[in-house]
Amino acid sequence: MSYVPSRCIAELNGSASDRVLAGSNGAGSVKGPLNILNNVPWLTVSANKEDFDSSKETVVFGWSHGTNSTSSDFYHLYKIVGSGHTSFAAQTNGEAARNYSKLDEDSLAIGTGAFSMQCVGKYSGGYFVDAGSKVIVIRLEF
Amino acid sequence: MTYNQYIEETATTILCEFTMSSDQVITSTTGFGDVVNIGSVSGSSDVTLSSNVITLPQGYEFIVRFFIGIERASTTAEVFTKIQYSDATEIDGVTVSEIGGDGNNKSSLEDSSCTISTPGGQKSFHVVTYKTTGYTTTILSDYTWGLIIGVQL
Repeated sequence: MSYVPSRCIAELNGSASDRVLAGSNGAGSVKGPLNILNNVPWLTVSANKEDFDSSKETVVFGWSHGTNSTSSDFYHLYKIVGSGHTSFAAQTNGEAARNYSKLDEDSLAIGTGAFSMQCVGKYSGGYFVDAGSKVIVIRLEF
Repeated sequence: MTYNQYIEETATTILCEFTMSSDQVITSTTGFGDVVNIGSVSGSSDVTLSSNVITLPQGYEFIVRFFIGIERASTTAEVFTKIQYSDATEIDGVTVSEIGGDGNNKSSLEDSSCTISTPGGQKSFHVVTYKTTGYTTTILSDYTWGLIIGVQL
């Protein structure tokens, strides 16, 4: 009988050191680097922390915290994207009075295999997946 | 019933929500000086509430999310909220909800979220908050809600 790891939850966090610039206005995707807080054997990550691969069916949800060094309005439209995933996009907004965006938008995906957190649309620039960003992966399949 | 449930009589998964019983005026204007008043925890009886402290049972990994909605006299009053262990130590990886910006005087929903594992014993947490200016700022119980999902280790 083989050993079955019991941990079912993985946590991926954004950081100030790994955040990426979303770029200027318009479309065009940017992948967000995320750090695994607790390693689990059913989820692997690429060296650049941008691409994840789950060997089990999972529910993936999370959000990006965007920041902007120019104190101007911006938004980031983002999505958990994977070839084997059905997913919904989310959006976070930064307003002129603050350099920080809201945290209240979740992207949700269900599936197996490779996925990444991608900024798929934006107004103005700003940093994508800054500190305060989080993606949680729940393994459904044993 | 699973094998673990049969031999240990414990649930393999836990699902709870926690709510406020009434609105709460934020008084603290320094680092997370107010504890959010939690009125009730519903769902699994393995999760307990006492004096605004929620205790998670041993042997699980949990996802905890707390969504906060506020009303404020001025948008210059920004509100920060986070989940924290009840002994005031930090939870690794916890996110802080930030309600800032301009616009109207009611925020959208914001959340603080974390994962907590309890392999060695039960753990307790509370929710703490503060505002950045003296303007009257109230946590609205109708728009504030917490979620706990637990999976047995």
